[in-house]
Amino acid sequence: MFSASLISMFGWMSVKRIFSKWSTAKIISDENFFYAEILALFLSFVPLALRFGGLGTAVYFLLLMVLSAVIPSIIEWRRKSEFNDTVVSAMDAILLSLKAGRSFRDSLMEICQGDVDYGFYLQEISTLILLRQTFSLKNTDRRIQRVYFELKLADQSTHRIADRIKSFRYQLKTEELFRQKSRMATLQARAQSIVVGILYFLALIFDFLNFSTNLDVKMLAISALLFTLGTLWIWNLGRRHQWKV
Amino acid sequence: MESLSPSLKLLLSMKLSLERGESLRQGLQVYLSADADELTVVVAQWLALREQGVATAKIKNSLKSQYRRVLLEVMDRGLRGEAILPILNTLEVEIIQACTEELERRTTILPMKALVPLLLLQFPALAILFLAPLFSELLKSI
Repeated sequence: MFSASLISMFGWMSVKRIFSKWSTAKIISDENFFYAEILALFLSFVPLALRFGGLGTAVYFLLLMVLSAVIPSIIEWRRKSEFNDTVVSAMDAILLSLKAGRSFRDSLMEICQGDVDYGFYLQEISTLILLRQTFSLKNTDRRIQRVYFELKLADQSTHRIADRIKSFRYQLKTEELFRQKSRMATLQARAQSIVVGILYFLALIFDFLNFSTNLDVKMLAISALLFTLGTLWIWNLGRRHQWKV
Repeated sequence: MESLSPSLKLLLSMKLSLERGESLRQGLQVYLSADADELTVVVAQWLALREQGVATAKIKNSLKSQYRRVLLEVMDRGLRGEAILPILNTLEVEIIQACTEELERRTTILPMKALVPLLLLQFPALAILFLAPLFSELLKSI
């Protein structure tokens, strides 16, 4: 079963890569790419679960399916947050290097090979620019693309590179400042939701340990539904803010 | 909410383009090709009408935010060839201050808003979890 699950996982990855190429070549749209990915995931693991049978095996394959889908997203999310955390300090480093008399390309080289780790995306952007745009950036994140675009423009320009980087760094800093302030506004409500969530699970465990024979499944379902709705409400509180300014 | 105010985004985009030595028109093109928000749509309509020589006062007056209206006016002057970078610098201070105040107001209100789902949904869910087994035991004993 282990070897079958490994084959399924690699099979799914190959199909994902093929779909990704199709999406890049605009053979399928981004939305269809998402559905195709889900279908491929389903087709890779469900036949195996049916073949080996049993509830335990089904759960094992379901877990494998979820992990295969979730792990790449977690890695991407980590890389993006790393990018957001380090992009301003990378601009600081470039600016400092320019003011010390080095060229723009030397400054970028430092981002690629320096002691400080600026994360995957900044290294990718620097490498692409150093390679003189032989390949274009495939990432669809607007912020990452904007940094790539600005650094590419700076590389192509012949004068006032430091001023360009300085203006861009100022814009990034202002954005970051407001992002942090916005996050602070919602953080308290989310922290409260996490504490209540922990309490809820402790109460659930307590109920199972002490009243397992008297537990009414319908009541538990209503309670879980109410709690989930409340949590979703709290987590969405700050998201739909319409700026008045 | 974890995004910039549309007016601040427009202003910073304009400022960056001018500081890079580009024209305001180029800056507007870059701004319009970036992430779309409610102001991007208005600016695109405003620019299209302006290019056709149609009056844009109606679009400008439809904006509720005075900061957005002023930005459109400044852009209009910029497109007519006036130097607007010093005006943008002054406006930036005003807009950042207004955004900070709006965020502070929101930070004050948000904990009160978070109490609503807590009291209406999460507390009843916890109450059911605590009281349901006790009630069923009580009913059994009766």
